[in-house]
Amino acid sequence: MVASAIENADAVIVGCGVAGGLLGGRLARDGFRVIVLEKRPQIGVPVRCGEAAGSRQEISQFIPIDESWIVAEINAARMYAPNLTFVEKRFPGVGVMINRDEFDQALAGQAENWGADVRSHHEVTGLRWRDGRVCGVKVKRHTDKTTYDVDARVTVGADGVESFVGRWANLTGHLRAKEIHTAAEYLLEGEGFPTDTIEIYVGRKISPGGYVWVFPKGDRFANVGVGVHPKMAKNGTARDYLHRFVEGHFPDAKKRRFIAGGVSGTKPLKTMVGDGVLLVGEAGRHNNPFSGGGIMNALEGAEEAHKVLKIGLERDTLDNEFLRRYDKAWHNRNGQVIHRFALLREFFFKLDDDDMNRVVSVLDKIVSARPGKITDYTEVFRAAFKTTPGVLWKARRMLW
Amino acid sequence: MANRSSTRMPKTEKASNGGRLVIDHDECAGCGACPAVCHSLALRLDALTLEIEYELCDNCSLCVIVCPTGALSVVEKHTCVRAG
Ligand SMILES: Cc1cc2nc3c(=O)[nH]c(=O)nc-3n(C[C@H](O)[C@H](O)[C@H](O)COP(=O)(O)OP(=O)(O)OC[C@H]3O[C@@H](n4cnc5c(N)ncnc54)[C@H](O)[C@@H]3O)c2cc1C
Ligand code: SF4
Ligand code: SF4
Repeated sequence: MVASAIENADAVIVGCGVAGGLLGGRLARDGFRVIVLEKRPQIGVPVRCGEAAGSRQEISQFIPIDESWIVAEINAARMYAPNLTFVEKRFPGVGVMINRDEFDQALAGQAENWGADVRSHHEVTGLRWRDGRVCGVKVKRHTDKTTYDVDARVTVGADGVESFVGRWANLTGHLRAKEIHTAAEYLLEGEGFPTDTIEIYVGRKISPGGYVWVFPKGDRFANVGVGVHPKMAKNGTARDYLHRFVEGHFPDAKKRRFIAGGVSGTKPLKTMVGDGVLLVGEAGRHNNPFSGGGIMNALEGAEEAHKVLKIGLERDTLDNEFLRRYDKAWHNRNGQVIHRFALLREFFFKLDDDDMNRVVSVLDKIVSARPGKITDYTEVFRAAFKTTPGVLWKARRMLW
Repeated sequence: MANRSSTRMPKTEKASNGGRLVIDHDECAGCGACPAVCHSLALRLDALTLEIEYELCDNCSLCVIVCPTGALSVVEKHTCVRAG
């Protein structure tokens, strides 16, 4: 048997989604030798995302805006109750809809321009260990079915919801049924879609434990998806729920693309680091566990990881104790909010359709009474629970 | 030392229930949800194609429940002509 070739790098990044693409690029820009390994043949393809992202200003902190991957503006959000009453809040300029495949490719391109070695169709199949610490990865090159190893001073798991790096490194376990949303989405072409508003429909019947989204994707197009709690969904798969919704609401629309996915919905991890290894993005459970949104969280997580790794690589200090700075920084930036949303998620699972009708009606009153004043969703929900005694008991100690 | 997993659980009695997990590759969207929930690392997206390592699978069926497209099922062994 021929021994695998071994390459060397300062950092090896597993996965070239948003987190891996940004982090790999930033470390390469600092002058470190970075290898980013992506198992899919083409970066960002197939898309596994509803494609709603933050504002232009927020995104431009990570990559210069390119109008070619922006397809619509998000200026408002509307939530429909099971009885189809709704609450709408306008937030001009709050976000944009993107073509996620092009966005991931742009981040990978930025990383390459900064000197990172980005390799697609190269799958990481295991970790390398030395003296109890992670010291790189084992790789399968799909194009010619050969294998090789990368020896690296630090290994980053940016491998998304599947994250095997987290499990190999004993940092995460498998997701339990209540910790994942299973989702399906069509890109629809037709009439009657919102143009600058993201629409959410809730209800036990249409999307048990989750929600339906209708997100604008430019003239005559929309991403229409359903996420469900796998154990609460007694009436078929996520795709079955999606079919029913689309037949009911957009029967004449043409289905242009189908995607599916799992979205993690957990409390923050106790730690995302080990000796010579850390997790970022969805691998580190950075998603908002309530909405499932994770693009901006993954970018922010990568930014925090970059700050700590830059110093760690310069000083050659990449042990567990040093890397815990990243745990702390991320927790201060997003972890506490994620924790609150995880509690909100548990609370949401307990609501029946009547409760949801009441919550939406109360939210509507609150939003109309305080236009422009709301800065934090949890504030809105808190106010709603206070004024809705019927559901208050279900929220015991969930939010505050 | 590679492929260490702290999450590998002892096989349960379900392992001997005679069923076998089957993938309908035409239905599989390669979405990665099932590897995320499999407690025994029996499922892996090999680039885009889902692969099962049968020695590790104990037919717990969590992946079947989670799959958004219904591509997975556990069938009785004698009805399973060819898996995958
Ligand atoms: C249906 C659906 C809708 C969503 N909608 C939205 C939305 O509208 N807005 C939003 O903000 N978020 C949304 N999300 C969540 C968002 O897509 C994720 O949170 C985000 O992609 C996480 O980014 P990441 O970089 O951590 O991981 P990913 O983007 O998943 O990237 C991980 C990469 O690692 C690669 N990889 C995995 N294992 C290996 C390996 N062993 N070797 C090499 N490469 C590997 C994968 O192929 C993948 O490319 C949605 C998710 C789903 C499933
Ligand atoms: S049934 Fe599915 S989740 Fe359970 S062990 Fe087998 S492959 Fe894993
Ligand atoms: S969950 Fe279903 S669609 Fe997704 S990879 Fe597994 S079998 Fe395929």
